[in-house]
Amino acid sequence: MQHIEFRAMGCQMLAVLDTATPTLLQQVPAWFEAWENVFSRFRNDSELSRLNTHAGAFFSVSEPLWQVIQQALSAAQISGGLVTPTVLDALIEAGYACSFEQLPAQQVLSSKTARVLNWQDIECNEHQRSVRLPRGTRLDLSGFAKGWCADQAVRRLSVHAPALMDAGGDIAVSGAMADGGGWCVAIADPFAPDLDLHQITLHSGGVATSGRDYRQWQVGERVHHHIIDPRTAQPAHTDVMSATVIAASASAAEMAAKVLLILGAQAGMAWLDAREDFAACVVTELRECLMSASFDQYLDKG
Amino acid sequence: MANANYVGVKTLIMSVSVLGTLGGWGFLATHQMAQLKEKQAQTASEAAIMPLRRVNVAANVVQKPTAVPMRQVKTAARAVTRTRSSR
Repeated sequence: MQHIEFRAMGCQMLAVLDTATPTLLQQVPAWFEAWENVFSRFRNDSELSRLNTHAGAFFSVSEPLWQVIQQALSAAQISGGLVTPTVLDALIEAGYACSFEQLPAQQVLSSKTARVLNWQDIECNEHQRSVRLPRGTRLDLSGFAKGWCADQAVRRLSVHAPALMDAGGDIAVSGAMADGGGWCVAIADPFAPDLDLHQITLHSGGVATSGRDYRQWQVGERVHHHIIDPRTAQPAHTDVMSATVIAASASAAEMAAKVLLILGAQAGMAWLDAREDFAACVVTELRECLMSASFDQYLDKG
Repeated sequence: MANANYVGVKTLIMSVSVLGTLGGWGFLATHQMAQLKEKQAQTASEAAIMPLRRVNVAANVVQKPTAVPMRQVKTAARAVTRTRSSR
């Protein structure tokens, strides 16, 4: 088995190919660098940043940006607007104004409150592959891009051999491993970074975890985190510390994990249990571990 | 004689006052006891109609999540990677 590790999009990345044959794994970092130039809100010259400065007019976009925006709009529809790309201003008002590595641990914010504008007002012209953002609307794609990148990387790598792509904890697999077995993936304990809760086995699709255990910062007496609840335009007030979801793709898992965190353990698990496409494991702030009935089939009982 | 009559009348008035006061207090005490008994009877009646119930906050979840105690295991050597909140 071959692998490559690197940093991109503010996260640790891992690409794995289940083969001993020399491969093109060395190209993977360049893929992510190119995608970061499209999706990053922290790069002033990224395609997303340029789109955000052209609100009010149709703006032609590249195929990757078009796909991720379509994915984001689809996620917004499926989640009833709970997961939406129109949270950039709310994120900045909450204190997440720069890359997390550069974020001060303690901040003082203004009393200004941003609004999360309606994602349904975004217009898309498929024929011209162009997007028109309503005036005053800016997009943040950090809740969508990594899952999409993991799915794309795995699709490209699978031409060579069974592949796994871990994009900062959003993980996609191309299929079963070369011996027919599944990929063994651990689920991190949000309260003990060096330990894991469970191990699961994946034969297809993806798994993603959304949590407030790492990307957090202090604002006065309050602790803010990076998952915005569009209903309040504030960091989600939730009893969930981390939510791990298994789905048909890393993108879908990423979306559902955020829905669980925003809704909270009770409502989130009810939302998920009503859908056959997902399996989830949630850890609450009281250190309870809740699993959907469908999660058991993935647990590594070895 | 007049003084005796005055004392007698005064005594009579005082007696009536004391007796009236005692009677008044007795009436009030009796009335409050009756009210208390009535209230107790009403409460007992209500308790029989609405017995104390505990609400299971998870009752509306179609499939009740399986709560398992937190356990921590060190990552086994064969786990390829771990999913975690993005970092």
